Amino acid sequence: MARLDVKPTRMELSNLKDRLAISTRGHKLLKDKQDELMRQFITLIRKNNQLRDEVERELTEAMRAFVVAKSLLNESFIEELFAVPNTSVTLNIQEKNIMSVIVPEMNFSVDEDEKKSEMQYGLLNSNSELDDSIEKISKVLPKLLKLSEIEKTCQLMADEIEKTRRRVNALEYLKIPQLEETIHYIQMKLEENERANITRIMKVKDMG
Amino acid sequence: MKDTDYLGVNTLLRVYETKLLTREDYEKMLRAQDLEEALDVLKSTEYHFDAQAVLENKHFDSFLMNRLRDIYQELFTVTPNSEVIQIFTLRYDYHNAKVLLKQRFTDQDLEHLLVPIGKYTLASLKNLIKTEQSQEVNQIMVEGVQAAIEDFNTYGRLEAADVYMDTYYYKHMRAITDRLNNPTITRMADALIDLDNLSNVVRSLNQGKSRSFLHTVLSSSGSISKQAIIDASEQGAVNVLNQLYLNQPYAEKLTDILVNSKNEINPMVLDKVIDEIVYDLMEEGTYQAFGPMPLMAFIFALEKEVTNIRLILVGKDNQIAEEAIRERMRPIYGS
Repeated sequence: MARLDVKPTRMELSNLKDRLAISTRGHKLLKDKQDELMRQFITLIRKNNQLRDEVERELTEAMRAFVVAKSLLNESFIEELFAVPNTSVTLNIQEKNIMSVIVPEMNFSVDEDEKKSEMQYGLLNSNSELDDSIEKISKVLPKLLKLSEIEKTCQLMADEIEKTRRRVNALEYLKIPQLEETIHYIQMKLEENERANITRIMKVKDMG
Repeated sequence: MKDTDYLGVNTLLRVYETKLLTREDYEKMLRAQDLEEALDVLKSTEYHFDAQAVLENKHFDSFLMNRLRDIYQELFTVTPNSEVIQIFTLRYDYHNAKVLLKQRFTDQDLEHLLVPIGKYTLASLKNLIKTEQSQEVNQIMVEGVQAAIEDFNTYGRLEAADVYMDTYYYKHMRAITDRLNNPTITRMADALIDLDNLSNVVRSLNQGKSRSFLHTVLSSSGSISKQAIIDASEQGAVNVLNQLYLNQPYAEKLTDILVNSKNEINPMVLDKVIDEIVYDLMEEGTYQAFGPMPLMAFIFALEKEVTNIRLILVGKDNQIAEEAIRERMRPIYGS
């Protein structure tokens, strides 16, 4: 282990001791943070997995229904039906702080006035299977939006966990051992100097 | 208009008829392992496409539409009374009008959704939407477009395009069939509009829509009164069927659309039965030597052929089970 390139003086020793104390405290705090982040991350990722499975299953089902519906209609007809969306969704993003990680909290609101309009698309160039698939897709939408929020949070937390882990490791395996070794070295050096001094004084005394 | 005026067209049709896909062609396509094999069957028919490109981009509609466009164009030039063809092409005309209206309402570029089929050129439709006037386009359509634009300007509702175009589509079809004054065509239009109304009632009720919604989407151009349908729908869709449709000549066919419990109508089967009922009416016409009926029957067969091909190709592309495709297949001409 490399020792720090410092002069072995009492001043340095006191400085290094201070630094060691701070590092140890920092390490403990970071370790706690990492543990808590991990704990929250695991609950979140479980929820994420479950939601993702659900959304994927429902979406596959909806898409399958859509393909069947689509096969009976001209593609331009279908695209025309949905060329102009009749509802708009507003997204409000607020920031939430989980263990100093800024994660998004998304709120989706659908314009109530628009929701009231019953006519979503013309019935002439569509069919009942299309109705079913569109209904299925609209049902998945809120879950899909929720999933996007959770997945983004997981991603941000994973980054933070990674960063924290690197810091904890750096402190644990590099910084603290380095400081400890340097302190040890300076102490040894100072003691050695002390002994040399005593010996020198004894010799001077003998000469007299 | 004399029935013998159609002699030339009918001869041409006999030639065209031989080019329609046969049951064997469909069977081969249905049994195909994948899309490529299904396309191979189609190569030997009148549909022209670049198999490699289609396999890559899956744009089935482009070559299917090309075929329809070519035939419609040819038929428009040789048919003495183009209104007969219009019964089928109105759907495209009104689709184009809808696209153009939405384009006008939202300032979006939707040109790629236009279908180059129909009696009216895209230029004259564009002109109609822009100026709200037209010398070439039928007055009914002009009226519909004007009403849709006025509604949008007053209430700002985008769905005005859908509501008015759908309503005027049926109105326009009714006007044409009234003018043609051919008993079979009139019966067909009656059946088509009445059954579309039934289908819309079933779909609307399934989605829990209100009575006023029914007022908007149902057409009053059918033989069964719109008000009667709406009133009967209070007690559910089956009640509409029992009260108003059972004395229709095609009532027998409608028994298939009830699902096992007999209290519900399966809208998917209904859509198919509508096509079958129209097909039966058309089939009568195929055997007439003169008059517009063979032409009608041919166009109907062609439209259904395109639907069937699209269904099989999309089905094969997405590995949908053969059974699921088969139960959605529309009637095949001459079988």
